[in-house]
Amino acid sequence: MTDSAASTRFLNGPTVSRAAVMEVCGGQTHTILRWGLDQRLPAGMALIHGPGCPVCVTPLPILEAAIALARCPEVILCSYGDMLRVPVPLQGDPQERSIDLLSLRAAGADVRLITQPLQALQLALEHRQRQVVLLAVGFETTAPATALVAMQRQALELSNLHLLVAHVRVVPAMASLLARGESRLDALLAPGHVCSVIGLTEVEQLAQRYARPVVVAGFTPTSLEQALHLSSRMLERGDHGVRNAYREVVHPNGNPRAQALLAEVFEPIDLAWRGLGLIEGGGLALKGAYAEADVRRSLDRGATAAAIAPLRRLGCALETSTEAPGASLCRATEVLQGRCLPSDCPAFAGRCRPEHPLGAPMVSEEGACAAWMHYRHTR
Amino acid sequence: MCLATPGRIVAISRAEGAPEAGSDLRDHDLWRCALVDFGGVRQQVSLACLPEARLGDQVLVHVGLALCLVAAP
Repeated sequence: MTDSAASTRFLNGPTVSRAAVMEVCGGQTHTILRWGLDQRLPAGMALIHGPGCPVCVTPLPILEAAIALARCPEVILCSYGDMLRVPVPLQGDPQERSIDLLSLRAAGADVRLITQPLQALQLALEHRQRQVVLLAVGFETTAPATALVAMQRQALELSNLHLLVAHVRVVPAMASLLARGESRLDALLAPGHVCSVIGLTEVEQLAQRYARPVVVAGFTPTSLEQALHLSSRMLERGDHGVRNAYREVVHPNGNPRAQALLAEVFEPIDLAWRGLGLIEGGGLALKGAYAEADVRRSLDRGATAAAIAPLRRLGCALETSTEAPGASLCRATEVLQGRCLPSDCPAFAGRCRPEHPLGAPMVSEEGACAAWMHYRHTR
Repeated sequence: MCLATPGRIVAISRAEGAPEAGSDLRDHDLWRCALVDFGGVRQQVSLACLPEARLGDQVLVHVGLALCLVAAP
């Protein structure tokens, strides 16, 4: 390599030969592609995009139940913007058509876009005669806010607020990817904001168990660059363990109060992630007295009882075989597992675009396909 | 989804619609909230997970919940 070529890389002359590093979080994927960090890696190092996009991995039965609930006149369904745009295949439709919550809203359903879960609580207070359903997704970063809603709901005895929970846990998913070994991962970048909640203990156990370097990374280009630098150093030396490249935010103990909220309201469950299959301890479910807020219990009556029927398929390992609409084309599953790049998909930028997505990774602002569309697609 | 925004606490209060404050300190934390300034845009944010947060603190906020204090660089 010439000197000028070397200077375009931020790490000169590392001796790692063929190292695959996965950035787990979709927000980090976007920063990496936007700033072209993947083009400035040490020779031999490649980045693999991980499944850290809650919208992308939300199981289909949850989305089907959300669609069916939104069709009930007494229901106000609320969730985050990206969730409202995920296409859900219409069962048994020969033309493989799909529907999403936003188009249901256009057809008259009461679907609300929220930016924080406490807005659902406000809606339930303002509309006592209606049934407010919060479709709650997200990793451990987002789950404490849902836990807070569940606790406030109980304190206020708000029986018209219901939770459709699809929260997921990131470390079990990382463990699952390492255990499968389908795509050989030499190092991982851990999502900084999840770690700001859960701390480093769980990540440390993962790094020890699989003998890999894991670097906790932030979301700015400099923070990610530093994290990549650290991981290449660790790979070079053959080290494993955890390094924290996001100290201004991530405390080794995380946020104990947020952890207490999670422990109070949720319990880990095995969950079949969309695209990844069953992940042991990969999801969170409401527990104890808070389970009364779960739509499976609180809406298992009257007109809404049929709407929640798809949820019975949750936890079924075979669930992921029913995939996105146009499944024959869409390779979202492989993209989520880091087994192919978005541009390898035959539907990418053709049949599948952000305006009419086939798979969830094209929908979400954090999906790898959307990131490639934004920053790598030139035509 | 996990993106979070740092902002500065400009006021601390009890959440609107919260029941009367009881003697239970844990309950008090549940309803504690703050007005946070994000470079000019101000929003109400829950402090339920940050009982140690004080006026003027820089906090990292995600979906309406302050998750941690941001250490000064």
